[in-house]
Amino acid sequence: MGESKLTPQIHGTALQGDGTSEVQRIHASWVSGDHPRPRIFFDLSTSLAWKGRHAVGIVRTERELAARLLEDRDFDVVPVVYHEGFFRAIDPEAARDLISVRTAPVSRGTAPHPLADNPDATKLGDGGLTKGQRIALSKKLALSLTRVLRLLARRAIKQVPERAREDVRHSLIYARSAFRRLVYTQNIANTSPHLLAAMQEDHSLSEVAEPEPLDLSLIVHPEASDILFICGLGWDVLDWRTLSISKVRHRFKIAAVVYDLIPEKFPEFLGAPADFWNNYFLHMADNCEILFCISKSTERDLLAYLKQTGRQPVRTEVFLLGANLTAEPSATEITDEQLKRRLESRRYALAVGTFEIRKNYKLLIDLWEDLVNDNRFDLDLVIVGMPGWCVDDLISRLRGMPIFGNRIHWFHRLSDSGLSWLYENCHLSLFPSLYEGWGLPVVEALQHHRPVIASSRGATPEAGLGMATILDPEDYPAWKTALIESALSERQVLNIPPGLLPTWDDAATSVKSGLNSLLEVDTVE
Amino acid sequence: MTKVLQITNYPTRRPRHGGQIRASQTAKQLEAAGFQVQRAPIFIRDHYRGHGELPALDLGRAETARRFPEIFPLFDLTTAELAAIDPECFAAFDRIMNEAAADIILLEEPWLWPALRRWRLEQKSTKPVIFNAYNIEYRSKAAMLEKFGMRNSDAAVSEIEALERDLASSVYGLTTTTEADAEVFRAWTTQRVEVAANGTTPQRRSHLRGVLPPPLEREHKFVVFVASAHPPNAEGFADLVLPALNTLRSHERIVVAGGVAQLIAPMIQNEKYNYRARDRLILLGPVSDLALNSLYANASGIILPITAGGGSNLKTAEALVSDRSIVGTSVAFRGFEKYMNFPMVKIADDGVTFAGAIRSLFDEAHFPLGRPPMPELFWSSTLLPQVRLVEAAAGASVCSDS
Repeated sequence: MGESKLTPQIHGTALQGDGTSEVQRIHASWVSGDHPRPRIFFDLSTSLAWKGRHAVGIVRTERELAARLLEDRDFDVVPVVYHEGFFRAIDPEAARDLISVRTAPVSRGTAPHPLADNPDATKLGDGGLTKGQRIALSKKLALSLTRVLRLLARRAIKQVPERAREDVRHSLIYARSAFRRLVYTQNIANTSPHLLAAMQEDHSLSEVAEPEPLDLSLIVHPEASDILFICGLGWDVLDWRTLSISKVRHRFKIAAVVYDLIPEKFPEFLGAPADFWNNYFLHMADNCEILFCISKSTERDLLAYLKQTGRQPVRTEVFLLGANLTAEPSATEITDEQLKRRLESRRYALAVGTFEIRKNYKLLIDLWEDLVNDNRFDLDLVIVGMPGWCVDDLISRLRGMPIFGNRIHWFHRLSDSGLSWLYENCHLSLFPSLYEGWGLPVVEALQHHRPVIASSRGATPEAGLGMATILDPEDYPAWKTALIESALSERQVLNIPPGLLPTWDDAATSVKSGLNSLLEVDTVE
Repeated sequence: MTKVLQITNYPTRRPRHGGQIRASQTAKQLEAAGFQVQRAPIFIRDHYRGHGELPALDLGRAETARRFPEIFPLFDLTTAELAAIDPECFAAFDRIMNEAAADIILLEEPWLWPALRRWRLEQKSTKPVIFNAYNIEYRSKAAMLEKFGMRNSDAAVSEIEALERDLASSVYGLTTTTEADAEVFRAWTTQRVEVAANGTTPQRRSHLRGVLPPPLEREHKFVVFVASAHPPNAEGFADLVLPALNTLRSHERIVVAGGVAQLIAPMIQNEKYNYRARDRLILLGPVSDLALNSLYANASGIILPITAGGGSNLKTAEALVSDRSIVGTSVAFRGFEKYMNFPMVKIADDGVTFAGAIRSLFDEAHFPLGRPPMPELFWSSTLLPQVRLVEAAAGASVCSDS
């Protein structure tokens, strides 16, 4: 663990005069000696906000990149979270805990809760309910309350004059989002399910410990040579106003990931007001030295946006999201035995992605409503995705269809194991999205060697990697023909060339390369 | 695999004070050496809330009244003895010991010896016991009781001395933290006595520059004093450090981290110091390991104003490998005498010299120093005699069983 002799005066003198020369001296010491290494502040605010929750794509991306970069030997990567106006360094062990969280798997309509199953769960309070039963009941009540509130909100909106209806709708959506942030981001120290078991007296030679609350006391005062890396829900967890002031003051660099500009290009697909997103993208353009894009399509969209808004071009790099679902396929969380047997014995098409307007499940639902009348067509449709934006009417329609629960099945969420099992056993995968920044489900299907029919819009053709059938998502006849052809075909197993599928290791390497080049640019200057 | 049962009178999984750290490191070094170590922390659960570990035996459930409940310096003695004298507690202790079925028993500090002694007698156990002494407790307690103002403390002190003597002569072997303490035990016993000094864990901290706990700002320059709430740790502060407040410039600070801050707080609540202390002294109190590392990473130097207490100061080892300049007393360097003439180590035993030395930490701040690593101060080196002793006991145990 020894440190070789270092260039002195790296710290202890305030940055004065030409900050660039300070950076050059620091970099020179990296070249000549061991330390300090280039320092990257890796923002994990999103992982903190989503701790214990099902990881959607962007959250997953942050976790996967962090898992690799935190262990990198060429950088000093300091995990940080944004809290009350400052970035705060967190303990590396706590960071690993944040990024390794997986939710309990939840199949359709069933929410198994560890406390309810725990025979040691303590009886608390009145009513004779165990604590686990009380929590499960609370969740059911909360879900029912949410549905009632949503119904009331829809009815209230209909009473508002049309000229103001959209604004009111957006305001309610924004308020809901703010409430969620308030509730979830304050939940910093969660109680481990282990704790209940540990509450027994005389736990002889106890191995169990309470989880340590996350220490957020350490404020980061960055230096000009530092890079802040943001790859999460930057519009949700950061305040770019204070962040930009800090950047001006301390002159550090910011590297961020742009997933897509869908809110700019298609504001009708999103819930928050268009200006919210425009404001966010402007902050990104004004504050970042490098913007990583998850596809060439996103990169094109970004460059077009910069031009359109009169911003100076920002350096961009493209990296592809990893495809590796690493979990062992397992159907254990599909607790509906009848459904499980059906999926094991019958053929089905699989569609993965949030159930929102942009994913274009309407196309698939229309197709199935049509195709089930064709005796040649025996495929079921399985959808995996949480309910999202602007689809309440479609969901109502779906739930009212006779084929729902018979030929169309919907899992709100599944763990990687359950999803992997569905991919493994599907006849084909469908991805008719109206626009994407990438199209991860397409790649995941290819990872499982499953045929894919995917949209021609946005980055989805890129995600097809030359292996997917690409169709215009609004070309109903083409999709119908393709589905019938698939239904009449034997099960296919695609031969995926080695090295074709992007991995998270590749993604981390690309990010690291981009960050390195940012450092080199700095020293040259 | 040889099973070692480590008995402590505090939790060790999330160590904070020196005893916890040492006990925790002992377990780790033994595990690294191939032993299976089971930990049996025995304490009053309410005394360690927030430490994230439950006791193997909660002495808080004892129905037997504790002796001297108001004499804080005797808590160790009177709490631990409940494991021996309270029927329910001893039954639980007996269960723990029997279930552990250890090949070797490791007793950290002497306080639980009454329970262990009773168990050995009643079970006719011949399993070797190794005692790890952190101090000559009767001397340390004598000083603390005098400061505390306990009347007729001689009986209590004598009782502790008798406990230590009995323990020393009953065990397979024992370790101490300093050669001076070893000499005391060697006078009491013919059993094996080894010196296993306090050490530290190598840390990489350069990436924490500019990472600071509030109210520290990047523009502050500061020196840091880290110590636990063990009363002797605070004894030198008033005489050595408070007079130095005069020498600090407006943007310079003395930062105090650890439980010792709670002992220092009353010292500055008087007319003599309160404003200078307000503007130049920061009492952080207990901090996380990350915060501690950030303090070491950004400090201009480390001060060790220790004037009392036995054994050796764990924080001195930490300071020596921190690659920072150090100002300390000769008491602070007990057990580390050979480092007193090290470059960038200044020894000061009076207020004027100490204040001048603190001033030089700010004026001559030059870090990192590029001090070569000192692996001899790492726990893996300092606790090696302990590991060897356990290995020897394991060998002796095999011989006696066969």
